[in-house]
Amino acid sequence: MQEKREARGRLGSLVLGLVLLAGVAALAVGMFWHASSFHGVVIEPPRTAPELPAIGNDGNRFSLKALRGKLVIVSFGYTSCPDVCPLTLSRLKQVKSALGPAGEEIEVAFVSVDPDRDTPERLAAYVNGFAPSFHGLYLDGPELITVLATWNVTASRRDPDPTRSMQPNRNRYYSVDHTSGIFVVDRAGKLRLRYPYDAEVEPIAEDLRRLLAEAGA
Amino acid sequence: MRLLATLLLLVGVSALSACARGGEPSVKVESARAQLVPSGVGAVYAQIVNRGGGDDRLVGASSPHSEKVELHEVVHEDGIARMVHHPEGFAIPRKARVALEPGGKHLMLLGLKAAPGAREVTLTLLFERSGPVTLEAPVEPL
Repeated sequence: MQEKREARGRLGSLVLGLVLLAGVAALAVGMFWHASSFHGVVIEPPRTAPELPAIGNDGNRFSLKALRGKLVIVSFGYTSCPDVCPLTLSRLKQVKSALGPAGEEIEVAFVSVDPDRDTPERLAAYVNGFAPSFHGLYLDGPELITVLATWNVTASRRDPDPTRSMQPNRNRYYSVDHTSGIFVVDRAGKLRLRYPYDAEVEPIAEDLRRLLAEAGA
Repeated sequence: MRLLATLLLLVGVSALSACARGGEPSVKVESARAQLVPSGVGAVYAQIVNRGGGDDRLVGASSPHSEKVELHEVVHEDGIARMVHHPEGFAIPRKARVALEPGGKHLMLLGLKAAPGAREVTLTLLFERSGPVTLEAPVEPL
């Protein structure tokens, strides 16, 4: 009788242990799924997005910190870019539109990597061609170098046609090889996700809805 | 007799030449569209279809709406977009379709002269064998 009771007790402990183990495993799987179920590339661990001490559309200093509580999408490019940059900004306009009223909670910042030709006014006109709410950000000198380094972005001027070096317009017609793609900063100011420049609209919008549902700063 | 021999020789040479080039190309430009950005540059995308039996090559383009038009291709490497200029042109092989599309091969308009809000741009594409092809590319909104 005593043996039977002990055996039942051991069985009970074993079942309890298994249930607990299953619970812990489910929690771990759930957490992993939660972290990896974004469509974009998850930046792990999330870190505070480096500041963008740039001149904004209105000629005043732009501050990422001032946008805490909103999601900020950051991309790098230049206004003489006829292909990848317009494609990126067009997609972001569509993403905001796909989010409906929640799109108001999304800020889009386009950082110029071509300080020689771009100006704050030119950038403002460029981004306004896509959406008046977009921020065109201008930096130059050491500030630009710091931003490129802290965001791990590269930009290098290239003259696609070396014979142009003999031409009078050489300083007008060059391109800038640069990191394409977009970065998403969450409401707490953390760098969270990354996408290629041609990522589809709906998966980005779906990820942003999830980030909007998180607690803000 | 000598004249006949010369004529036969000429016909033979031109036939051989045609063979080497793989017959005649038949090039058509479809679905052209332009994207103009406020900074004075633009891109033109299209499908170039060669239904003929011979290869061809797009060797250049011009437009009254821009200072110059260049043949470019965006190449993506390790997350970096690199613009490659193709002064040698784009090969348009026989029985093939070459896509000029966003993020890839395209015509770049430099020094835009088109009025803001222009609805279309006129372009002339120059093919090595088929010669010039002029078209109107509708401007797509950004």
